[in-house]
Amino acid sequence: MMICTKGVWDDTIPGITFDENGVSNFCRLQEQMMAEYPRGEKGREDWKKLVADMKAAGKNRRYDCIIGVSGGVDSSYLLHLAHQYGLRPLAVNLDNGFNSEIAVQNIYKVTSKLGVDLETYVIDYEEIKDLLRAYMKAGMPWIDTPTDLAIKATMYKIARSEGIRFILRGNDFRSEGKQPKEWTYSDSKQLRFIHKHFGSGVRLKTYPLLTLPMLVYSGMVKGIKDIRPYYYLDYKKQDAKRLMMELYNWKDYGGHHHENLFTKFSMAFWLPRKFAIDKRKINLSAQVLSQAITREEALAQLRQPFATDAELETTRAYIQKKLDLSDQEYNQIWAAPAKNTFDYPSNYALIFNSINQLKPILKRLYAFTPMSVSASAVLDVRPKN
Amino acid sequence: MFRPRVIPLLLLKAKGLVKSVKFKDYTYIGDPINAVKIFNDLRADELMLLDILATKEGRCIDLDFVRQVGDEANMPFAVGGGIQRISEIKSLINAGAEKVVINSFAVREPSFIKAASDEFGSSTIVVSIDIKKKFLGKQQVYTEGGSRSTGLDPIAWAKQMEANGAGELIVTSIEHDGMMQGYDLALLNAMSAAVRIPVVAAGGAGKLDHFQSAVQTAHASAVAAGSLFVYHGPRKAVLVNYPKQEELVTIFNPS
Repeated sequence: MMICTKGVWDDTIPGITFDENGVSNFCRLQEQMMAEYPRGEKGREDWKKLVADMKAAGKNRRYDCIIGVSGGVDSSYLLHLAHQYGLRPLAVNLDNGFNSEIAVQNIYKVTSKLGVDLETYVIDYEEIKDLLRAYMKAGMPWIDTPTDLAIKATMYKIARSEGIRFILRGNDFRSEGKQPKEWTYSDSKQLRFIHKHFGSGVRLKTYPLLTLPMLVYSGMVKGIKDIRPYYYLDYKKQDAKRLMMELYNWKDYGGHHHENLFTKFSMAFWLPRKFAIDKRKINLSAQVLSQAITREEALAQLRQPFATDAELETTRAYIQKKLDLSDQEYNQIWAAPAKNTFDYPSNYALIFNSINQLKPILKRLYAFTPMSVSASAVLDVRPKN
Repeated sequence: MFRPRVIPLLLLKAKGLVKSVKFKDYTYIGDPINAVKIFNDLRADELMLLDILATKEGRCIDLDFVRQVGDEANMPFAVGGGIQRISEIKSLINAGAEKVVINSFAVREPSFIKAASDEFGSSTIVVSIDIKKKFLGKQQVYTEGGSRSTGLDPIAWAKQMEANGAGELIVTSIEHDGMMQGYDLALLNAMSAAVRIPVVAAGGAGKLDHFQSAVQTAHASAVAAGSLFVYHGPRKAVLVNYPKQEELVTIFNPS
């Protein structure tokens, strides 16, 4: 197996290429992003400017910005940071019926202590259940897409109705990296297609859907902008965890995204066992490049299982039961061929083909260059088939 | 140290969990099994789950659902909704419920409570009493999710149910439900003075202090709450929560 000499990306990753020094194109993208978004003095300056913009826009309003919270460390610490910078966020949580007790308690503790208002958006479980089942039946790798899309849609929806112009998200390319599009690309058009063909006909009444025109409207007309503070500010997950535990009695749940049981299932069971996909390779590589861990540590972590077999089986059984899948249905799903994002229609080709025309719009929608745009320079991002 | 039971009271409507205000304006608050799982992890004393459509639809609370609750709940739990037969109680207990809650059918067939408690023991049989003031009138017992007035006097009814063998009464003020302004203390006080069996206060808890007054002032034996355990903060965010053991001890034993 070929492994990138600077990170731990290997040739199981679609679209990966290596240069004569064994350095992968994913590594080059990561380096390019790091150069584009320097932390330290410059990063702090850029961030302060954004803070000033947010405060100016939030004047005479109850909130300056929206922060999506999951109970995980990234978003919890983001609330803490926003508070430190004198911002008045509205915290928003999406409830997809799989939140863990630890996640819920973490949200409770942090928002209570900071006095931050919390809004939850509860999706009717029968709807999200039908969507999650549909994604599994479709043989998609990243089956938690309905949740991810709903989180984004919810933030825009609440931002629009509350007149809030800034959405802060706890994404950090330095600890997460760029996932190959084959594994994770998704959009509302594809979700509709998959639901129509693999769902059981449950009508989506509460499920929030952010269509491409609505996204453009939100940005261009309502002036809503997506900001990623960790692109600018020093953020070390381990340090942040320690601080959050000390200040808020925040609790660690172990494992990236394990605050939500369905995400845990997707990440630690579905992807590795059905698709031989280990998303940790991307996350850990990014952390190696940002010097949060050494390459040896990353390789050692990859040799570790996601969790014990017994724990994973418990999670799997719970998911099967909660999704109302009989043994027969589950086994059928498990045995069905693995697909990826290019097996189903989406807006990918449309966006890809009009990326140049879209650039001015992107500038209005995002306070940063989306990673997929930066990626187009170093990765093969052409739509397949 | 003395510590009354503190019981999350969850309402089931179709397959979803809902929260009401004055037995109306039902808001969807999520998947019941997830809530049960979280209450279990938070170590709630006991749970109570009521299917609010069952009586109207002429059926009993779903057995499969009760079984699923049993899978996630390590604590005792009571279930109610449309119970009309001894055989139904038997199935519900076999499915994992420790107690059953009966309301509408107790009014229609008061002797059923006697038969049920003879069969299963009074500790299994909880009678739920929903109370509201009739327009310009006195407080009286309502059934079928607060939609039907019975003309029954709450205190006399409570005594009758005790005499018939009910092991526990859960007493809900419809006007206080979901308001989070505190229980109807006068009602609870009168009720707990009238009967010797445990009276569980329900309807109106908005903060932990309300538990204390229900017990200390109105002599309730236990307290139940909905909104308090599912809503958080000024925007009523849906976030399951439950006080810590130490907190509960402090509430009921103020120094």
